[in-house]
Amino acid sequence: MIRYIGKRLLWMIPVMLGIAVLIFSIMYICPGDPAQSLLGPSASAVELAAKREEMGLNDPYIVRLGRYLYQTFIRLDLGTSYKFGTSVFAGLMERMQYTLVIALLCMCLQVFVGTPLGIMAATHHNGLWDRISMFLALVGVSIPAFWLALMLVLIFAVNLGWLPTSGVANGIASFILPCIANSFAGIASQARHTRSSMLEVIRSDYIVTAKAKGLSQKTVLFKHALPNALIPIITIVGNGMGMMLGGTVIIENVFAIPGVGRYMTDAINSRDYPVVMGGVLVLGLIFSLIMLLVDIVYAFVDPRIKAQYEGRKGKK
Amino acid sequence: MKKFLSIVLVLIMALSMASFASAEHGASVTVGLAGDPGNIGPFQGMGLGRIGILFTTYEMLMVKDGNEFVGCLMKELTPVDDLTYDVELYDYIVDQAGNKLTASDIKFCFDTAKADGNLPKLSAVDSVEVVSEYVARFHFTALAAGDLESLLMECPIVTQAAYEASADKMATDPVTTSPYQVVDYKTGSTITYKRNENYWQKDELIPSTSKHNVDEITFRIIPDPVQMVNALKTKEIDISAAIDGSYISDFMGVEGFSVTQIPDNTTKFLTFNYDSIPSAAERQAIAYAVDVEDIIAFAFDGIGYHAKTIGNTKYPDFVEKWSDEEYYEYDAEKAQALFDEAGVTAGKTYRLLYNVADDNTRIVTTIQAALMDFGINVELIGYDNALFGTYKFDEKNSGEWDIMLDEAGSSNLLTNVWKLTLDRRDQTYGKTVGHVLDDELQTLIEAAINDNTPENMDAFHQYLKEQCYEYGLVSKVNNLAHTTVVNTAVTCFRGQILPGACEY
Repeated sequence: MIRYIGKRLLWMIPVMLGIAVLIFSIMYICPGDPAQSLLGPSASAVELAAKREEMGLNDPYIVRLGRYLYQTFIRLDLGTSYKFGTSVFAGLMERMQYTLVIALLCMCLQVFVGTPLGIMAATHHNGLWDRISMFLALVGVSIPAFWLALMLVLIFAVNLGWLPTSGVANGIASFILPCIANSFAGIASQARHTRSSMLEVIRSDYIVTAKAKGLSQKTVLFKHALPNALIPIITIVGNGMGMMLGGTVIIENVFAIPGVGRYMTDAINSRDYPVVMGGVLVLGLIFSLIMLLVDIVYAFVDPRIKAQYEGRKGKK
Repeated sequence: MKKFLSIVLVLIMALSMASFASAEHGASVTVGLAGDPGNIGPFQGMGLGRIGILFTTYEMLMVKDGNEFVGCLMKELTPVDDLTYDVELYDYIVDQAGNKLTASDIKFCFDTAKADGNLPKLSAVDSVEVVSEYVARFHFTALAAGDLESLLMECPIVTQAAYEASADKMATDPVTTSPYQVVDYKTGSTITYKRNENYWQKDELIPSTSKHNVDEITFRIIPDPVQMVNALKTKEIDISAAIDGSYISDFMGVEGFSVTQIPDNTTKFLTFNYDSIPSAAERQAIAYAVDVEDIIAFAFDGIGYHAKTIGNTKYPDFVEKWSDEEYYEYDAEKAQALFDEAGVTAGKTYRLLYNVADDNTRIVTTIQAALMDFGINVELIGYDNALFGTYKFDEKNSGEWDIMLDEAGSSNLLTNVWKLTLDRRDQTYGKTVGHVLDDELQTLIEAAINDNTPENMDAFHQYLKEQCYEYGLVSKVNNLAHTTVVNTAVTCFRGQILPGACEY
């Protein structure tokens, strides 16, 4: 198992290198002039040229790529933001806290609301609860997050005055509406996948046997059915977490949350290359680690998978 | 299930007792800001967020107070020759850390700002020399009308000691001579200032940009325009100059709110690509074909003015008689006659380039609909801000558009607005932004820039109007709305709120 983890960690190095080369190349060919964006329309041609030279934008592709890879992987420096003049890493870490709070809260909502909904739907298959759950799930995946966010603000902030409209100045209350808006689709998706996975399992022979043995519904469900249905559920949770980290842009913009998503979209709009490249690298690293964690959790949930990981060592 | 429902009901009751409307303000004000200043260090480039906090954070040598240029840190300005001026400072200026401000700090600031290269206007400052403890001598490379004041207003001033003592070049914790000091900065969220009780200047000499009528100022960054409106409605903010025109009626005549409409510095205008539209008749035809009142009604909710040039009456060198002149008022018959003269027939397509930010999308769809009445198609080519800026100035892309919707403004003179697109000396490829190579135009604009007398201004204006290389559409209006916390709102010459100068 340790060996498996070690191998996966080593594999991350070429993956990160690949991400770095790809994102650098994309930003290289992307149209738009960072110098123009920085200096504004009143800058003369000479000033723009000088700024481009200072930013190293006139160098050939291979020179710039080499410089970027050396700075990132040898000096472990993600560079300095063109727009803010501050360290990209410091900027990301400062904003990561808000994005992490939203991502974790949303994942909790997704797991603790979506999973029970899915279980309820599966255990009441074709019944009223199944139809209600699946209707809510359909609504959840259909509603755009930004629309839901603004509706929630209108109802709970503007009309009722219960919660703040935006910002992070009100502690945990600031995250209630953003998390509900951001997790709605995830809850719906989680419910649907859980239902589907559970339905597959509860039709199995061993579940019928368990019921025939006289075990309680609760025991059958949570001791026998759910553990076997967990693999796809864990996959959804893992993917969802990764997407949350990079995909909360809309929610961060609507609720004025200074997270990573907003930092990166602002950087893209102003052609702040170091921030975009640094952000993609950091998010790529985090996503890779989450996927590794998901694989490790598989091993704990399913002994067959654990045996597979360890079996490779045994075979050798 | 019953337990779950009862917990939910308790939570609802608890929340209903809480209110997230702002508490009563007496000594503080919260300002809604649409952009994120990011790095609030002194020598950063101008941006949407930075412009909103600039005068609260820093002081300059000179500022524009109403329609007058007055000294702020500068006590006196003495010309030595046409390109050399002595700036004498007040001899009792101290910053928030107690450091005295002297002429060597002025030299330091201008040298550092020039070296950083984020304030391109300062290229006109050749050097700054320390003459005595409180006198700095400025040597300029060239000075057109209005340039001197503009340059002395351009660079925020800090003491060298405070700047070098800062761990991050004042990116998050500037120490300045301003009456307000940053006490908390959550990047991308809020910036909080507290009044400096030991502010250096005597009351009778304080310009509006340095007034300090409130104890605490908080700028709250809210990028979404709808959320800005919501924050003001719930009184989470007290004032904002970034209320979109289509929502301003939510506050007009509503108890607890006041609205002030201030003409903005900026004007929306159309530029014609001379390479694809070389005929003056064709350009004029397009100008007459578009009803600007429709644009004002649709894009700005009826709030705005039909421009009479690329600029508005706010500028001191705007010639008054232009206000009563005919300036491409909508005239369908005239437009058709001009299209016929230019040989433009139904089915022709123009490519209209624009920046997708702001109200531009509504403007270009109005123009598209207007030209469709003449059987002319308009292909809309929208780009984000960065890309628009690139394509606007890039000769390689000059064949990609026929008409461009743009926006321009200046902090002081109309000639500085015109310079941005019509002075080919400042452009990358020796022509105007519209690819015009017209010696007469160039001669007239240089005369106006060098000496902005009404005669020179009018000569250029009339020629530009006749040739219609560019023409003004709408002079924008800033919609400033506030709660009753603020009695009288005050703005700077850039249309940004001066929270310290407001009356409470």
